[in-house]
Amino acid sequence: MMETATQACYRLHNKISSQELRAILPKSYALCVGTGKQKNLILLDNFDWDICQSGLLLIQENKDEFQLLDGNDNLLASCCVQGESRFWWQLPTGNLADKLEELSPIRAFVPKYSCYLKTDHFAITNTDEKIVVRMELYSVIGSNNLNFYFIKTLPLRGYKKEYSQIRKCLAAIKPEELPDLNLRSLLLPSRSEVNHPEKKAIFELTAAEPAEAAISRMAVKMIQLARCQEQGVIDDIDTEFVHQYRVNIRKTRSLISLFKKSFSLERYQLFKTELKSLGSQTNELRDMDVFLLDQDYYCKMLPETLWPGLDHIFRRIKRRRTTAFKRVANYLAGTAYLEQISCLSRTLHQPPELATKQSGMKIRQLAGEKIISQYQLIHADGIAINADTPDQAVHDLRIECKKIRYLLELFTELFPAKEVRQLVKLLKVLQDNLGRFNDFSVQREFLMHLGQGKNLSADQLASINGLTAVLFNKQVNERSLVVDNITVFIDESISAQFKKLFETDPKKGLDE
Amino acid sequence: MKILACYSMKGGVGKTASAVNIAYWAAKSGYRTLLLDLDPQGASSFYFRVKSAPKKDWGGRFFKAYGEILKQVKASDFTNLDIIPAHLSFRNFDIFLGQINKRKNRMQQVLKGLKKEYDLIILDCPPTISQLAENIFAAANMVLVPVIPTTLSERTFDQLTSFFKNEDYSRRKLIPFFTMVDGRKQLHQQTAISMRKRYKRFLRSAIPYSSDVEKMGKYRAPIDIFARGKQANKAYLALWTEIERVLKDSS
Repeated sequence: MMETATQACYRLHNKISSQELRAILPKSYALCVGTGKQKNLILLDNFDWDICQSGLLLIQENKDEFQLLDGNDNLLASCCVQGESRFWWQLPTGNLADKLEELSPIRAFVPKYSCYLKTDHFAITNTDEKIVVRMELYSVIGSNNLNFYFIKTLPLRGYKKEYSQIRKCLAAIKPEELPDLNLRSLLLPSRSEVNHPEKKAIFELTAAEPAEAAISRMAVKMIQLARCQEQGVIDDIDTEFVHQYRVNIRKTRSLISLFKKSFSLERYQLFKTELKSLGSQTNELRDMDVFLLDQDYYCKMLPETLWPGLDHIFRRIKRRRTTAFKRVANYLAGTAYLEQISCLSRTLHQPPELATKQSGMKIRQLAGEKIISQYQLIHADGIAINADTPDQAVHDLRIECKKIRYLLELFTELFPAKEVRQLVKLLKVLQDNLGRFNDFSVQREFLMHLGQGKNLSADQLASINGLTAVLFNKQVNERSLVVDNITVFIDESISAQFKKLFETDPKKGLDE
Repeated sequence: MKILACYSMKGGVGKTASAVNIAYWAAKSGYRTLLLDLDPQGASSFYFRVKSAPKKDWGGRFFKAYGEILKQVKASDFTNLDIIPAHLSFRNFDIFLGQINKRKNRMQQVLKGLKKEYDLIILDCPPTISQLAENIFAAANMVLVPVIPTTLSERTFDQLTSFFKNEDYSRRKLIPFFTMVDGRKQLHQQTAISMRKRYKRFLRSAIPYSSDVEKMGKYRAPIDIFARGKQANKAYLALWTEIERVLKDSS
């Protein structure tokens, strides 16, 4: 193969006109202006920037065309859209819908950035009027009033000398050389635009930090993370906003409850009341969301003859969901909520009272003790569960497992990360089993409650009963796995690991 | 990769105009095309505004290795189309060929090295019947012969056909087509009819006599660039379409 010079890409500090470009070229060359292209582009992604983070770009071009591009601007899939297209399942069946299902299974894609992209083509010719170098000027006129300009020089075979001469001339406008120029670098020039939210909170804990201060700081951070979701909930972008909001509030509640002895009774009561109230506001909405998200799953459980009844039920639930959503949106946008949040925040920001013995304890030692005692609790409860134990005991164990999961995840920073991750992985197997067992139970209760409603037709009742029966079978099946999964988690080797990782050595102390 | 030669023993029959326009349309149809200007007069290089490197005797290394040829490749102003411009030293090709072994297949061997980079190589040949011409006949998959429908051109084509027969080159390679046709001239009409009867492989498309073909020298570009809607341009497009079909049928 012949050795050819490679293209060069630059970011310009200012806009440049064709006259200015002509002026920097040597006199023996002429600049010919070719036809330009322009288009309106919208960069789409979900709240977490999952598409961008996986190295791809989802672009909406000229309002009705969606394109999925890879890092080299190769088109992976595309489709024309009509009407609302915020989720993969709202797109026409095909390659793009399939790929977006993988990239963003639940979350909606929303406009992140929009611009008007203009591409001007130039040809630089020699005295024979032969083109010796080509050039492309990209002007990105952002809807946020920030504009960026880029130049790409393209060598032509057999004109290496001319190419290097022209590149040298470009140095006069002091452009910033870039390794490459593609749609990603045009639309996200500083890369800081991809401001995805923290998926897991980082608290920067220190081992010796007094418990009350540390727990307060952690609660503040998690409430902040919950609050990042508020606007998405109010705008009803997708169901993950309310879910993540609830997860953060629930973790805060659990943390405060596990470390209640680190606070004065008065403070603890305030936290408990406010957090309980915050959490409960979204319960109904989340229940409806979960049921609606599983629409296909429920359909598959029933024979086709029962689908019309099921369809009616989903329509009822959608109406209820609309009501529940309005209530939550009004609540989050209202002053009462803001007062609640500011009261919580004010109290959490107040100096530690150090009113209890635990409040001054070093957080690493205390967290370790909590993890050990929580594990011991699960151990004791787990051993007592056999095939005939009433369901309530299994549900209680699920809640205790959730608490230890939160403890392990929230305090990972203070302990050996790799070992903690392995324990979490193991715990997850048990939790998934217990979670499914609980879900089937909740779903059955939900359906039974629905079945007691007024104005239900015979086909609706038939599908409710059908689903209840299938769910019961599934729950029984899940229950049969519980004992084995508990046995694995309370095994001696796991107990030893918990001890090794979290137990305080009375001689050394964990904090050293 | 296919090799297509625009060849005639006779000068001034439209070899270069045909090579340039066929190469242009081939590239525009998506074929990665290389136009190799073998005529030391360098007319097709001139039409594409490319100049050879001022090295003295690169023609002397032409038949050594394809790497030598690659160094001389220049991009044209059109996508998919590269040119190897002519060099004055190409006039000595017969001397160079006389000095080496396997004389008749040398061109074929050298061009074979380009098959990864190009789908089509078009040779713009000088009007000669020599060692170089024989190398071209051996290398080309198709020898396109422009013929003006006149008595002298007919005679030249007959001579070429006999040469192919005598020297045992496949006559199927010979694909003639009419150029500079003036429909008003009775002689042109009669010669065309009689030649089509005798030679069944004549392409149906014919290039009319047109000042637009001459204007290529003024504009230094294929006709499509400066006379898009004109008859001559349409004729070259039709000619290329027919050639493309023959190429596909033969592969």
